[in-house]
This record gives sequence, C-alpha cells and structure tokens, in this order.
Amino acid sequence: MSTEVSPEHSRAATPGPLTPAPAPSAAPNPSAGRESARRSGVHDKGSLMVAVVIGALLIVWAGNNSYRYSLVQTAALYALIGVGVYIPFVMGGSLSLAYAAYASIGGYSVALIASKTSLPVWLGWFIGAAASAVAAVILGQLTRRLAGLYLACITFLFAQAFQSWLNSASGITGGQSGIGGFRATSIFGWVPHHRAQIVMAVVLVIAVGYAVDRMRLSPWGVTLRAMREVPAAVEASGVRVSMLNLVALGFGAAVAALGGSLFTTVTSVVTPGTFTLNLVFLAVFMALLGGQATPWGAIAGAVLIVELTLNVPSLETSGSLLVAIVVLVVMLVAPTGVLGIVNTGRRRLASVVADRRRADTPIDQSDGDSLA
Amino acid sequence: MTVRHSKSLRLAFLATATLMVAACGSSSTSKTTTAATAAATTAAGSTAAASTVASTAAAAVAGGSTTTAASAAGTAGGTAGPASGKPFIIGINADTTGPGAPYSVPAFKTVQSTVDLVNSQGGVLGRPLKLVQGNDESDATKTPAVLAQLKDKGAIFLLSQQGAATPNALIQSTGLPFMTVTGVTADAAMPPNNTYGFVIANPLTQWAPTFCASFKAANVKKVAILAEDSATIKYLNGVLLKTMNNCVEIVAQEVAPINSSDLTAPISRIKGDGADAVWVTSSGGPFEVLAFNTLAQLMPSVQKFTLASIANEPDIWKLANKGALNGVVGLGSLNDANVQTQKLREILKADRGADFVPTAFDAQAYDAVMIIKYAIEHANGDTSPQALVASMETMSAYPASFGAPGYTLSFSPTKHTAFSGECGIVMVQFDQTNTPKAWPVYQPSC
Amino acid sequence: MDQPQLWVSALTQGSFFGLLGLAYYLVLIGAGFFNIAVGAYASLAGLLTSWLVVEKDFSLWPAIAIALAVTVVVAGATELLVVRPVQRRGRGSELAALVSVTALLFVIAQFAGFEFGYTTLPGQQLLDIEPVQIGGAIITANALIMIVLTFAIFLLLAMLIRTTRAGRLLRAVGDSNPVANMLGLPVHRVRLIAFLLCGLLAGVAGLLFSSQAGVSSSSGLGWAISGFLAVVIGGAGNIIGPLIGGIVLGMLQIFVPYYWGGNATNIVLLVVAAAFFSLRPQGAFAQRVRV
Repeated sequence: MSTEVSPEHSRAATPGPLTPAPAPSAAPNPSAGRESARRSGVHDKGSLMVAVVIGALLIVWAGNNSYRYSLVQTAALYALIGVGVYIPFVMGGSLSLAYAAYASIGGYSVALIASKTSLPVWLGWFIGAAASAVAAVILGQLTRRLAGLYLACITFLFAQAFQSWLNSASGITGGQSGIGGFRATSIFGWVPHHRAQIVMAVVLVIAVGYAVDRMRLSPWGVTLRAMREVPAAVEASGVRVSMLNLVALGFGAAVAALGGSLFTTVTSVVTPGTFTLNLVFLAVFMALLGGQATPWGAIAGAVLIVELTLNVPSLETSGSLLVAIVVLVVMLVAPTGVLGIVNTGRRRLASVVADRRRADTPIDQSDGDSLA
Repeated sequence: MTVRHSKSLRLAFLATATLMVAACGSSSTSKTTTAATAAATTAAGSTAAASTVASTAAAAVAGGSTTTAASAAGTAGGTAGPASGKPFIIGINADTTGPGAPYSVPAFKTVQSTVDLVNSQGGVLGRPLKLVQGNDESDATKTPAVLAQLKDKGAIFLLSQQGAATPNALIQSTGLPFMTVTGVTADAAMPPNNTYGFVIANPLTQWAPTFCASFKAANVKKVAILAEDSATIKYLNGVLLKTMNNCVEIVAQEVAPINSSDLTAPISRIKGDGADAVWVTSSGGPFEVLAFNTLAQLMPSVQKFTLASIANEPDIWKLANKGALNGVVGLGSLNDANVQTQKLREILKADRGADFVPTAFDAQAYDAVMIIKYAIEHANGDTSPQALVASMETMSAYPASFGAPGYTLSFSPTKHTAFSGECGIVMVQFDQTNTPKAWPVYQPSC
Repeated sequence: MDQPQLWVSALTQGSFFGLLGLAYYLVLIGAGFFNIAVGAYASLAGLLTSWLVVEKDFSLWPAIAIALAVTVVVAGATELLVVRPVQRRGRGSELAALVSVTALLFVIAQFAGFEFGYTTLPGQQLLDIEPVQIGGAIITANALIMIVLTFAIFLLLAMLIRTTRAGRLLRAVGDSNPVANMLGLPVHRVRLIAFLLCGLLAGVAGLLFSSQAGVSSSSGLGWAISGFLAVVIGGAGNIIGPLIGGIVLGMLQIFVPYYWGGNATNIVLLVVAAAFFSLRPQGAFAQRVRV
C-alpha cells in the first residue's frame, strides 16, 4: 500500500533541477559524497578524540559541585534532543517539531517502569526509544508527502495533541502533576549517583554523536543527504526515498527519547509540561549554532545554549533573547556554525604548516584515512 | 572584492559574539570586578522594570560565594541600613521572562521590596538578607539547574514564584527549605515524602467549600462553567468539581483554548442551558477578560463568578471593557479591614507610588520574606536546613497580611501549608470601575 | 448557523486570518517561501501601538504611524538582512529560509517581551464609538473596520496585481526568480516591495485585531500558524485564496465549538489541516500553469 511514491510530490517544496547544484557537504552520488565529506576535513576519529577530551574536561570541571552536575546533565539532555532533531533535519531535510512528544515518551517509559512495575528501570530506556521510533515512523508515514512548513505545522499540531493527551490520561500518566519520586535506576544492584551519572551521560552523548557521525559517512547516510538535495535522482537510482526518510525519523526520535529517559532518571520526575515546544525550537537552533556539517555541531550547540541560558548571570532577564540573537547572527555571518569556524581555522593552520613541510618533503595532502 | 568584504564582516560579527559569550561565561566563574561591571552595564541598557533585577544579578556576581558587605548594600538598592555583616542568602526562582512572567513579576518585585525593607530596618539578627534570582523561563528542563545554581550561590532558603508548580521530587532533591510564594497547588507541601516544601497561599483544597457557601448565599443552584483549556485548570477543576457536584448542579462545562480571541461560541452554547450563574475558571489573564467582555455582551443579566487569579492582576483589569467586570465574584484574599493589610498597603505605596494597587500576590510575597526572617531568628542564626525547617515548624499565629482581620498563619511538623482557617479567603466582587471590593453577601469565617 | 452573532465572530476572525494569509501570499509568490515572521509583524505592530499609548502616553494616531513604520522596516530588514543572504547561499533552499525567519520570529517576540513587558496590553479602539447593532448582532468598531478593510484590500490588490505593471512583475518574478533575473526584471526591487507590503498588511491586521483579546509578545506564533493555515486551505493559486481560506478557518473556529464543544476544535483543526496537507497541498485554489 505504502510503496507508491511520487517523487514530484514527496519533496514538492524543493523542485530542484535534475542536474544537481554542487553542494558543500552532500553530493548527489554516494561515492562523491564520501569523497567530499573526507575532503572537507571531517575526520570522525579526530572529532571523537576531541569530544572525549572535552567530555573528560567537563567531568573534571564539574568536580563535586552539584550545580555543575546539573549543567552537564542539562547539556546532555539538550545534546541528545539536538542530535535527534539533527538526523532528519540536517541530514534528511525534514523539519519535524514532534520532538517534545518523543522526549516525553522516553521520560514516561522510565517513570512508568519505575513506578508501576518491578522490572529493572533501565529497561525503560530501551522501551522508550523503541516506542518513540515506532511513533515517529507512523507519523512519518502519515505525513510522507509533506515537507517544509507543512511538515513542521502538522508535527507541531501533533505534539500539542500529545501533550494534551498526557494531561488528560491521568490514570496512566498522573495527569498534570505527572509521575515523580519513583525508585532510582539500579544496574544489577548498583545505583549510580552524581558523578557516575554524569560520566554515563557524557559517555552516552559521545557514543551517540560518534554513531551518528559514522552513519552520516556510511553509504546510507550519504544517500540520505543526497535525498535532501535531489530526491528524484536518488529515487531514480532505485532507492526508496520514503523508506530512507522514515528510518531517519525513527532513529532521530529514538535518540531524543534517550534524552528524555536520561533527564527523568536524574530528576526522578516527569510531567506533561517537562518537554516543551520551546525546547524543540532550541534543538533546531543547536545544529545551526554549532554547525550542520556533523552531529558534533548539534552537541556543541547544546553546550553553548546551556551556557547562554543558564550560566550567564548578568542576563537572567533575557536568556532566550540572547540565544535567539546569537542563533540569527551565526546563521547570517557564519553559516557553518561554531565548529565550522574552528574547522576552517584549523585547516588554514594545517595548510600553513603543510606548506612549510612540503618545502622539505612533498607529501600527499589528503586528510587522514579514517574510513579505510 | 565583495567576498573579502563579507568575510571580514562575518569575522567581526563572530568576534563580537564570541567576546559576548566569553565575557558572560567568565563572570560566572571568576569574581573579577570587570566581569561585574560588564554585567552591570549590560543591565543598565534595559528598561527600568528590569534594572532592579539586574542590580541583584550584578550583586550576585560581585559577591560570588564569599560575599562582602558592599555587595549586600547593592542588593538593598543602595539603602544604607543598619544591617551589616555576612548576609543570609535567599534564592528565588522567578520567571521574569517567558510565559510565566505576567504572573511572576509582580510578586517577585514585592519580594525584592520586602528584602530591602527588612535590611533597612536592621536586617535579621543584625545581618542583611540578600536575594539571588534564578529564572527557568517556565521551561521545566531548566528547573533542576536553576535550583542547583541558587544553592551554589549560597542560598539557605529557596522561594519559588513561577507559572507552574515545582514537582515535589525536585524540591526534596535541593535539600533546602523551599517555599512556594503564590502557588496554590499544595501537593508540594503534603506528606508523605515531604521534608522541605512549604506553601503560604490558601491551598486549593479549601476553595470548594468556600465556593459552595458562596453559591448558596447568592441563591445559585445551576452553574455553567467556562474553562480555559490548560493543564493547570484541568487539574484545578478536577479537584474542585469532586466537591462542587454535591452543592450545585453543573449544567454546562465548556472549554476553550487559552489563547482564544473569541468566546462567542462557547458562551452562546451556555446561553441556552438555563444557568443561574456562569463560573469562569481560568488562570486569569486575557482569557478571563475576554470571557467577561463577551458575557457582558451576550448574557448581561446572569450572575458571574471567577476563580481567583484575576483579582490579583491589576494590569489585566485594564483589558476589560467599561463595566464588563461589574458584579463578578471570586476569591480575592485581601480585606482592607485587616490591619496587617493596611500596613502592607502603606509600605508598598511608599515604595511604588500612590497609584499602586496591592493584591494577595503582594501580601503573600511580603509574608514569605517575613516568615523566612522569623525562621532564621528562631533558629538563632543556625542556617542548616534541618534547623530552619524545625524553626519553620514552630511558627504559629503569624499575623498574615491577607485574609480576614486577625487571620494567622502556622506550620507544624505534619502541616507545611500555612493555611489556618477559611477566613484566609476573602470573597471579592468587582464594581463598576472594574476594581474588586470585599463581597457584602458572604465572607468565610474561621 | 442562524445566529448572526456567531457570523460576526466568524467574519471578524476570518478577515484577520485572511489578511495574515494575504501577507504570506505576497512573499510566497514573490520569494517562494512561507514567511512565518508574519505573526511576529502582527504582534509587534499591535503591541507597539498599545505600549506607546498605555505606557508612553502617545495619542493614538501617531502611535499607529510609528508602529506601522517600525513593522514595515522590520519586514524590509527581513528580506535584505536575513532572507536574501540565506537564499543566495542556499541556492533557493526553502528550509534554510524558513528556519532563519523562524529564528527571526523568536528574536522579535523575545525582544518585544524584554522591551514592552510580558503582560498582555489592551488593543486600541480606532474609533471611539459604541459597538453597533446590526440585525440582532453586536459588532465593535474595530471588527467592522477590519471586515470592510480586508475586503477592500483584497479587491484593490487583486486589481493591482492583474492590471498594473508592478503586479505582472510580481507574478513574473514569483514564477521563477532566476528566469526573471535573466530577463533583466528588477527581481530585488519587486521582492523588497512584496516584503514591505507583507509587513504593512500584517501590521494593520495585528493592530486591528488586538482589541479583540489584547496583544502580548507571545501572540506571534499562534497568529503565524493561523495565517499559514488560511493560505493552505485557500491555496496560493489565486489572490482570493487566502481570503476564502481565512474565512473558512474563522468559521471552523467559531462553529465547530458551537456545535461540538471546545474539545472538538483542536481535533477538527488537525484533521482539516492534515486533509488539506496530504490530499490537496496546493489548496482550494490551485495554481494553474499560465501560458
């Protein structure tokens, strides 16, 4: 039934010419995409190492201070939702605003498992991720012909309806007061506390970031990104665009659900109003702020947004205003985001160094061979 | 050529943005004077309303964890009071921006004024109070970090003035005495599993009997409800209607979106249901005014009731058409016959100007600070959470600045809601000028 | 549907949504994307007018002039500083422009809250006259002005677009920016005019409508979505599309709660939106190929 796809409708909003325009990070044919990704100086192993170092520094910085713990936890939540939005938004070009619902599913599944069953709480993480993915695939299937503002609008209406359901289904969800004060997560008898919790949160974010980065460079990821630019060409080469899109949406939702589970586990409370539409807009902004080239951009954006909204004491009156202005300015003057700037700077430096070295021994210029 | 130009422009912008972030970021960790000055100048550009907030923030930066007398003076708005020494720090999570701002800002300002007043009158045990503000902008994912931030800044007591109630689990995780200033959801202060939460306002559970008695006194037997479609009101109505169904007949229950711009349809539906009174249950604001504007037009002769919020929102009364609120009855909680209320009125008029209209929100904000003062004094300056909670639990017969004359507040180890009797509630009725006065028909007694 | 009062409400709402829809429509045909900042323009104009009158003791008409001027300037800045650079870079990608104006919507809303306060301000009555009674229905001066003005604006613009050179230019540019550019048409100027008109229309709509239930810094997003739905329902094939769409939406918002209760409104809206989105994304009045 669902196999019928009409490419001219499925991406009606971007009626690109059949001869693709040259794209910076995503090219129409998979092998060229991989090539260009490699050439653009994105080493996935290099980024991973930088992320691990920064993560470790954050854990050291947090020390024994519970405020800093909170900041790291909030940044981890934002990063997971940011990466969740990143997958279909930046890679697939679909702007879905239903992420508050997906994060809530992750949160409520942990809360329900912990408060209503005697099953191990960590099971809630997996159930939440799976349930979110299923919800996203169903919603994606229903809206498969939509793109742009049409898709954003319908997913926005869906998220509102979902929140209103959470409020009214008080038998399951506890209504407006939500579910709180349930038992802590224990992993085979071990209950992780503060420090262990933030170490786990940081590890989770880095693992997700790395996995998505690998995916991005895999043939699947390249096809997905090509689909964003020229759906007709991808369709013509025998790949089902709608299927690809559904997988991206489901995967993104699962990642966001992990964020919801993480937050609920740490605070041991979830309410219908915990994950708001505002958070979803922030998540969209994270990728723009940090840089769209890789998922690490969304993660960097999450850290920046936590810094801007929570840790800027002089601007307690206008945290959101500051975020909105910074996002707009970055979009206009530095479209590659903060990481893009860093990368450009790093590459310039590298080429200067290489130029000097080449004077001695001529060597190949290609960036590492991390994919070999 | 043009390319180069746009690149340098980009770099300039980016540099500015980075500098901004860097300046702000560093001020949170270091305690350099420059950072504090930067904070102060950023704030100086803002509106007058925001500048009081900013001065608190600037003082917080200057003070950091080890505070000085100078920074305390900054908090007090420059008042040279006799209070001196190391300040007692109170943290407040107040949504001065975001969707909760309209409800939070008035009470937050009164908390600030009261802190200044206490400091100018000798402080607490001779030492000043200092207020540090956090703001989660009604985004629940930020609440844990904001509460932890306040604790990190050295707060010994937390206040919450927000659009939505803070979940009990979060209150307990702070490990600090935590008082909700104007919130009416008593969940946060109820046993079991509550050590730290306290509530001042008349809790929701007490509203139903008062409304039942009010309907009876007004000879209302059939009530039509017009509710706003929000989580808060869904919850409030759920609690109220459990009891209300026994004392009046609910002939209609209509809901409409909270951001409605037209309520003709639901009110036209209500019109045919033969209700003696229409009861608008909303969290106040434009929805409530729109409802009464439309009712004045379509059902001018029906009796009109409201919940509570609008009586506390002088800014919102201006939205109503001429006389549209005339006759509306609801919970108000301020009675001019109460001497404490008169005192509060004088204090706030001196502080904000003769035109200022105090509400129950102001009274509860004032009492919140005074109760903290009491708690610290009776713990003899011991600021450990256990000592403060124990001290709070000994409070009895504190004369409230709201409620009927002689109304008092008290806590005990098993009761963390300050409510001591139904006369904490004052029924008010709006007059021709859209201003509430005590309702002559019925007042709850203790 | 025999109650005239309900029809007055539906028409008032419908005219507002229609005007917002028209503001969308102009940018849609000129620049090829949905300018969601329309909602922000409307709330900015309403809020600024009320703020100047209530807080700064301006008299009404200078306040309106200032507010509309500011809104038009903001709309022009949207094109010059935000959309044009982003579209040039993204080679016409709809999503990039959409996201950047969404960020702009946030900036305007947050800034308005910061500057003009977060409480709802009363909208200003344009004429100091009592509500008039027409055949059993009461109608306020502002609602009357809005309904009449909306129809007048639609008529006028429909004529202008059909008969004048500027109108033909707008349609030519809208069909394809690059082709129009190649033909030497003043694409930039036409697009800028579309944005300025868009800001003016949204501003007028906002300041007239804000007397219904007040206006606050957070009104913009909801209004933006209503205007978008009006375009989707009516379709962008014909300039009358947004007006029809707006009135249909206004009727839905009044008659659905009247017949089925308030809980039904959201569901019906979701169903209608989903139906139009998936079955007829081009709207009721589809764009026909012009030869």
